[in-house]
Amino acid sequence: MAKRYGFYVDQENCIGCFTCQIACKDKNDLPDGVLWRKVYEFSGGTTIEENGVFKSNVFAYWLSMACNHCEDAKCVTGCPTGAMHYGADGTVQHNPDLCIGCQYCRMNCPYDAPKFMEDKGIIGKCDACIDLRETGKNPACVDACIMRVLEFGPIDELRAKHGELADIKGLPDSNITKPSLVINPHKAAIK
Amino acid sequence: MLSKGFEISRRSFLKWSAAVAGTSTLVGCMPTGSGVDGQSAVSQMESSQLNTEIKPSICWHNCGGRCQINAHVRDGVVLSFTTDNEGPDTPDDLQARACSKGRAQRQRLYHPDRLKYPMKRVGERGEGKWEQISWDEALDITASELDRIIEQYGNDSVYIIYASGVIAGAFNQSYVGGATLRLLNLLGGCLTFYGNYSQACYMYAIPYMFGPGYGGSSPTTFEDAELMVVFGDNPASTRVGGLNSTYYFKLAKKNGTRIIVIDPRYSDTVGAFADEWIPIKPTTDSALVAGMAYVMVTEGLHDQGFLDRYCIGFDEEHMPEGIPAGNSYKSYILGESDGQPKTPEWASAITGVPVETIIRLAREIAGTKPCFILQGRGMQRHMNGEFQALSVPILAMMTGNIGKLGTNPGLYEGYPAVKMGSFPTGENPVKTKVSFFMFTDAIEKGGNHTKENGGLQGAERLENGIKFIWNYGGNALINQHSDVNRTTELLKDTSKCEFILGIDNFMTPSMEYADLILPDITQFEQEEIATRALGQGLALYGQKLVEPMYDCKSVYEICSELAKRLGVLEEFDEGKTQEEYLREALEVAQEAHPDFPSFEEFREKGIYKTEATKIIAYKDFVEDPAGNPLPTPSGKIEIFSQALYDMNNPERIPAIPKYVAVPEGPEDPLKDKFPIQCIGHHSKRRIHSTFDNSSWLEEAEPQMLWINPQDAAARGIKNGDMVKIFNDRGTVRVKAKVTPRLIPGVCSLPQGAWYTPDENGVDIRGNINTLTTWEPTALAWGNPQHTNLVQVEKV
Amino acid sequence: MEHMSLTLFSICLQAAIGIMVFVSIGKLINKDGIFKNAMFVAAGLGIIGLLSSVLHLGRPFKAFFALNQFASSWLSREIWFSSLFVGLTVLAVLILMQRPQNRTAIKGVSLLSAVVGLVAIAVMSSVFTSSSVPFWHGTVTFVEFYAAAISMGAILFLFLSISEAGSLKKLVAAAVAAAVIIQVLVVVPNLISLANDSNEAIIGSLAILNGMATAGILKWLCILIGAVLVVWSAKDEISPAVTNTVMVSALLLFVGQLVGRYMFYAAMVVGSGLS
Repeated sequence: MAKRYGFYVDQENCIGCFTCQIACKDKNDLPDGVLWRKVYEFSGGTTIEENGVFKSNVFAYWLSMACNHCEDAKCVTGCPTGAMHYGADGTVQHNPDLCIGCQYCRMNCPYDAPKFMEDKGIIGKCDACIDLRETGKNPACVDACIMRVLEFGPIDELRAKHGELADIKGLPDSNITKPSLVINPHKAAIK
Repeated sequence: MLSKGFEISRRSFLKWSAAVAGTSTLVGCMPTGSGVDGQSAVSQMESSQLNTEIKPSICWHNCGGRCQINAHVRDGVVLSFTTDNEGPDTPDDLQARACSKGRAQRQRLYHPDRLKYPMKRVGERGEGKWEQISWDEALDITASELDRIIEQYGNDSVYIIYASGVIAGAFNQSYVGGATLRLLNLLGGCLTFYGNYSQACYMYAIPYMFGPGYGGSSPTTFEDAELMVVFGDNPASTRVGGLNSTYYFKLAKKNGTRIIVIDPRYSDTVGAFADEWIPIKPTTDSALVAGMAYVMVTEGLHDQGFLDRYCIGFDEEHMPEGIPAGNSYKSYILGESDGQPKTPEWASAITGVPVETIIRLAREIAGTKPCFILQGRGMQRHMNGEFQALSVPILAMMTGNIGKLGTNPGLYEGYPAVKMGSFPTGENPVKTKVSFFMFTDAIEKGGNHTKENGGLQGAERLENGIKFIWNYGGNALINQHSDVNRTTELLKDTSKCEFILGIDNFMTPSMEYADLILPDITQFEQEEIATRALGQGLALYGQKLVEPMYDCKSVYEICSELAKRLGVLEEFDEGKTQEEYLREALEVAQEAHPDFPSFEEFREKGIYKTEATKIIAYKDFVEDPAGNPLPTPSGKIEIFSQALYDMNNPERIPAIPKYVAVPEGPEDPLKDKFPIQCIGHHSKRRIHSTFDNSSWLEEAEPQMLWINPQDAAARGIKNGDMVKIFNDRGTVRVKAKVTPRLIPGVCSLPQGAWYTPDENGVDIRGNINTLTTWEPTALAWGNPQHTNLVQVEKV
Repeated sequence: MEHMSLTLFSICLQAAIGIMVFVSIGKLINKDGIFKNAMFVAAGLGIIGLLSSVLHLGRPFKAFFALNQFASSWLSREIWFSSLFVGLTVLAVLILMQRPQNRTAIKGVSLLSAVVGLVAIAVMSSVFTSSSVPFWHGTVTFVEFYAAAISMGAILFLFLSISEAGSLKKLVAAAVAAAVIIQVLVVVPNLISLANDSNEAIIGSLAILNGMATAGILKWLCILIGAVLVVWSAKDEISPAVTNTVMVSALLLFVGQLVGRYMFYAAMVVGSGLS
């Protein structure tokens, strides 16, 4: 089987600073409203005042996510034109020349990765910075990260190094698309 | 919800930058490919980061960091920025990676709202009516106004206002001088300021305890602590950039350090790193400290030996000569002076922290060594900020957590620096300084702003008040100063302050109140240097990336032109080029750091870092207090300050760090009318007010009012609802973020949003300073910008 | 009106399929039946539907690329079957116009078109049940789509060809009643059970529907009143009053299904609710 590539996210140490999100926007020159990588804030619990003192079980954590370059990518199977396809390294790539802008991939991706680029009338999404990787560099988000919580590489190696977890609170079941994603979860995100 | 000015149309952005490049093909970042055989066919030629010329540059606004950002330039257009990715990036030798703001700099450089040409005011001041004028006319007006006002009112009526938009360059130095101060010094000097909006109370008060030159241990030692106790510090949002504190929190957490954060808000630092969050009412940290001190004293947990040897003022046995009994900190704690023992029950009623938490925390701090006790800046931006700041170190002294690896004396972190020369500003003949926060008072009172009534330094009285304001790269004239509505009223009266010069990249709320605006270039349109450090020392070189945009000029060029008109050009530039000055500044660094590169090499690489070191604050003093005494009157750490005692204002300025209840604090009866304490935390999407007009960052974290679900429910407010926040000083209208990440009774409006009044004077962008007061703090004449009572209602 | 083109596509196409189903049934029962109006309208609705689906594309001129992936993509299959249905319907109409005497051919092509159409509805449903929008999953989508096709198709068939189809009005009424009853019995309990679902995406979808409560009420009122009217008028002989009632009923059923379909698309929330 061909080598597959994916992302590792050390969510435990992510501070939700948006640097990856902005670095991606800058590198790919994305318009307002379009995020190929997005930082989500999750928070919950309660903080109340009772008898004059505060009681809290609040939690907050972040998740930085782009395309997970899934093994069973539903965007690829669903795509009526073949624009969405597997690249040679197993990453999910998108061919703008074939894309007709039907947006069916947006209905099929449980991670909300494909985005409609209104100005072009077609889809765009994280290509794992294939241009940079072909010259031996990391994807832009990885080298941008302040907390060094993002890695990109052969998913087998990332799994060997960091474990196999891709299911945390707030994410869809990994059986749906088998994402090439490994997460070191924040304590409050463990399912 | 964005006002019109905040939208950057992608089309205009691209069209415009393409026009500058003289090419129509800037769109080159979208991958294109055959896709047929599964091979990527992304054209590397079109990549925004390949086949580009890479030029080092600097992100240099007023956060805790300075970062290297590297521009990728093709055909004269900056296509994208990357950051420092050289070196091993190990904890000993970290890359200085820029944060989200640094990565959004392309939106500053190519923002369609850039100021493009000189303008003079044609309507009333602040009315927003402008006329484009030539540089010659603009410089002539400025020179003649400077000349006239110096002649008529004296040099001390010309004021360089606090400004921190451009805080790091050699020439471009809005904060402590640079080219501006050199010019004004040559003209006979000008009025300057002391203190700053970041840490006025802290920097004024701490020397009373530790003497001048105080400091903390470096972030590189976080990981050596067993326990970290953090008061009101949120580096995960405020000091994010390369070589900063946040990364060392990660290392500490990894190393098993237990981290406790005391904060009214469940900050990003808490979410990412804290083992425990202790929510507390704003303004009451010193009461929490007193309550814990009571537990330590009554349970005998404190380190009496350390206090005896290194401190004065803790107990009656260690007081300065001639102070009456009952004035020590211990007497205060035990209630011997005022009849109120500072029991956990007492502290709990004030702070909202449960009694059992206070007792447990006191025992944990006393029983865990080494303990790193750290304070941030938020807790001192209050009406009693001086005593908030002074109280935290007490815990370090009582537990002997000073001078050893893994400890910190309750102060901010310390750090190693790169020694670097600067553009010589010369001597300012005017020694008078006004508190940064009292400039409105100095304008309003004209000749009646004094040492006594306004904290003036270096003179008894300011003869003519402030008549000329030089506002370069600053938004504290309106936006970042308190009580915007009162300030705008004051400045509309042109008989008080007669001339306001504005130099900036954007039409900020402060620029709206200038009489003349000169469009500045950004750091990307010139050659500059900067230094900064936290874990390691850092020096940066920024190359000119693109030619100056529009009809913009650098502040150096502006000052040279003014010097020419005012007859001091020869003294101003000494016949040297800017590069010669930069070379001279670097010589200082090359002398101090043997491995510092040559000018050419530094310009090429753009970055120099010192080795990571572990600084342990007050190590020498603790090892040998007699041989290395502190620069305080007693040579020891002064819990009791004779100087403060002698001010004879014990209610507002106690000689020991007592809890001082304040107006608009949690105990003010005004709460019947305005029941919510409103603070203004630093959001991670801005650096103060810089980047507020970045749509990428607004998209990341929109401006919203944080409010607890309990308070929201009582007002029928749901997440995302439009709300108004108001008190007697103003009204703000923004959307609500209903979140348990904040205690009930408190709301927080992230500071720095650009004041945008609608036709009714309601600020629809959400500037905290629409709600804050001009009233200064008691000792530092500082800014209590987190001490506000407000009401919140659904709109 | 972000979802309007998809709504128009599926409603028009399903109505057209429904009409052709009843045209075929009509031709089988009544050997002399021609049902010209109904066939014309079916062809027209089919063309409007297809155009609408093309116009919603970001690159409409490349629409034919959508035929590329029949082997893997439900959407590709949908375009194949929808186009085939419309093509057959148009063919039937063309034969009707050019060779009206060739009844066998007209009947045969109409019948084939109806069968292809019925398959197309299953494929259309699969486009959504196979997606990552949990709200669209399950048999409920099949029921919504078939019920819409049968109820709209039956009543439009009756209204458009009332002179020929009058004798079939009891059958039409029964079909509409059955479709609507099944729609109510499946869709409403499903919504109630979803209210307890902990899936973030479902919660998100329901929140969107909650915000459109008025439209939801409109949908069911139109459908139910439309169905009651046609059942109530079925007992009477054809008269201008009955014709009017059938027209109102057709309008109500069409509007009700249209509003419902718009809500169906508007409620799209993918995955676990990330957005």
